[in-house]
Amino acid sequence: MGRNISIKVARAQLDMTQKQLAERVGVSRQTMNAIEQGEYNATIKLCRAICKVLGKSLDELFGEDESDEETK
Amino acid sequence: MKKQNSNLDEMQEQKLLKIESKGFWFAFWALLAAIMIQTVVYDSTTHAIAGEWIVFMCLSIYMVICCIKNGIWDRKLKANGKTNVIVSLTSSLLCALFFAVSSYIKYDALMGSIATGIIMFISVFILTFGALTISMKIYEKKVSKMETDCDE
Repeated sequence: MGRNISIKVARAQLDMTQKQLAERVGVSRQTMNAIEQGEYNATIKLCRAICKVLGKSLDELFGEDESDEETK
Repeated sequence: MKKQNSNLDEMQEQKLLKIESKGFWFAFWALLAAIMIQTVVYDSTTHAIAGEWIVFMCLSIYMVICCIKNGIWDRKLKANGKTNVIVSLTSSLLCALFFAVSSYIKYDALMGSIATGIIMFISVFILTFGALTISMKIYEKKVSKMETDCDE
């Protein structure tokens, strides 16, 4: 599972720290960090909450890109 | 997404479940080891292992009931007669070996130990095979009921 750059980019666009995003979706900073690092597969419920806060679609934040396909 | 009645989020919850699962299996095997050691060490084993045996049986029965209730048999083994025979043979062989050695250590009688081993092998095989067959039938019934419920 590779790093999730999309979340980091979307967060930066909104000038939001990892801690702020974590608080908004109701998880710890460690969990948010693990999601961004690709170390934890979030549930669809949490994914949707992150999308809602960042104003992006599921596909934009969690959709598979070409680099993901190549690593499989 | 709001936190509900818990200080943990979903990842921490999953990690805690893994920790608890490892703790459970450690306690399970440690109990079995304690029972086996006491069986070898003490002459009158009934009183010595009563507490551990009750806890061990409660844990085992709890696991079997919960797994069957949820339509789960095993991660790798399939629920079929061939598996039941192999598992029963393996467990009865291990039991026979353990009780034969334990008997030899305690009483120093070779023929008696061999007889103990043979009796244990037969009785454990019958009991294990019977328990597995009954559990498998209940499991199959449960799975078929769950599948019927899904169709409706």
